[in-house]
Amino acid sequence: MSANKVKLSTSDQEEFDVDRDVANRSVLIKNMLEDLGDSDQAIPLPNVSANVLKKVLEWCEHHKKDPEPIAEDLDDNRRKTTEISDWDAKFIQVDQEMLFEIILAANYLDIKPLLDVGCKTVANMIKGKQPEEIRKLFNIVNDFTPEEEAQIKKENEWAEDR
Amino acid sequence: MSTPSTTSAAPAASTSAANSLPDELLDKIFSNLVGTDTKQHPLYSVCLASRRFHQVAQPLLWHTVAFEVDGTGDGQAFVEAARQLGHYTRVVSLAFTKVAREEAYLAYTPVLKHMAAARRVQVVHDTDSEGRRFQPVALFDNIESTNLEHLGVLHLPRDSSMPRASCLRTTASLDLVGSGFSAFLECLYHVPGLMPSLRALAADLWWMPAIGMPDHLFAQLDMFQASVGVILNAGARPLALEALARHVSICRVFLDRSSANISTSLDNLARGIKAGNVKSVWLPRDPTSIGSPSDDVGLCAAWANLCDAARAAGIPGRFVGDAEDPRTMVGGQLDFGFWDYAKRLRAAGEV
Repeated sequence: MSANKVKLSTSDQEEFDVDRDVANRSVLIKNMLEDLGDSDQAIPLPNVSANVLKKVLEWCEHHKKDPEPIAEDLDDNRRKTTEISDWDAKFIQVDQEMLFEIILAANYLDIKPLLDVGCKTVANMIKGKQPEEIRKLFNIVNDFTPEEEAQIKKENEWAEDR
Repeated sequence: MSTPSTTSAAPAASTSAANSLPDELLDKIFSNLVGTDTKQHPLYSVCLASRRFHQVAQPLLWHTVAFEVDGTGDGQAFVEAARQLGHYTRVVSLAFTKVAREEAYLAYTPVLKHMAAARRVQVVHDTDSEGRRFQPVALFDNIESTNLEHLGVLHLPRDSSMPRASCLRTTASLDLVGSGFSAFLECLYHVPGLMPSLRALAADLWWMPAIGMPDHLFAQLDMFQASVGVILNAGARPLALEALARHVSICRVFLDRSSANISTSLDNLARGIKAGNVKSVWLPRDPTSIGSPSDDVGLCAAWANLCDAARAAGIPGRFVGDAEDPRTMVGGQLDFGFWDYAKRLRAAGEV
């Protein structure tokens, strides 16, 4: 196996031969490669399925020349812009299930910029939605008692549409 | 790094991968919605979606609190909620508009007391329904944060109480408008060790002619060296403005038609630019607010002088507020002097 190629093995036992600079977008893989040294062994990614990895690698391929992301102070940058580049916006136009799978995979593989794109996309989907619509979006149920619901409304009255 | 527990290759159609998102990822998603400026806060809706969402989103909703008191509520629920949740708050903006009763003002300001970790505090007092301004006497009594980095007060009255020194030790930026500014600065001046931490000071000098701000305080502006933002009003004494132009690096030009000596002020500003002190110029968005330069040859020349100095120094001109097309601001009627000026600035840079 060429030193410039990396073998990745997915949860559903598919193997991918990937350029090293593409795979290096994942901090997890990068660290593993550094630890392992040159090896023909496939890197197992038990948390990522083939169809998701394919999509993630598409992103890594496009962004392989991006500079390293700058670490940010989370607390100070709470108010982030929700802007997404055109290419990323198009890339992330997938069904919801795939979107959440990409977020999970980006988190697991430690690809911060991709994780950001995914999270911002979901945040944009939340904007303008009522609680019931958000439940539908996330496929969750209302598990509040009426008292709890009233209490939350009261506590956060200032943020309500008045 | 935590590992998501479930990510299967082919999830059943009825389940959503959203359910398997760990709290840290929900937090990451929701944090993009902090301080969102919409009518209903998106995190308010998120809080009401489910218990788990509420748990993750509640601290984020309270991270940045912007509230406009318009006299319709009594503040009780807000103060009570702040007692429980105010420790999450880092950024708070309270705006009092059309509040007709001082009690309403007094009812709301205690929320600040519960935001002891706030880094940015902004309080705006607008006039009430009869055009009166409130006197925020108890405002500073309620600010107890010891992490304060920025404090902004719009319309600080002359007889305002002063903030505790302990609150201002970490404050690097002050943005004060109102007749209380001078007394405030005097107060700062007498707090040992405070001045060096202050990097940015913005103050409306509109009140200066009326209150006669002492010259020795102007001299203190030297201490701010790095960056001093000033809303420069032409009605203020030319001498003082000259002193400012020597020391300040950011000037927001805020002139209105009642201002005297506009030309002198503009000339001072131009001098400050040429001396390399003034790094940025802000213009009023509404050209009608400064009268009509076309009526006044001297004023036109002063604008042109300022413009040339700004261009030569490569200083971007900016409008206070949105950078709109000035033509839309005066009901289709072009004020050629200002428009020409704005156009030239626009061509020169990033207006």
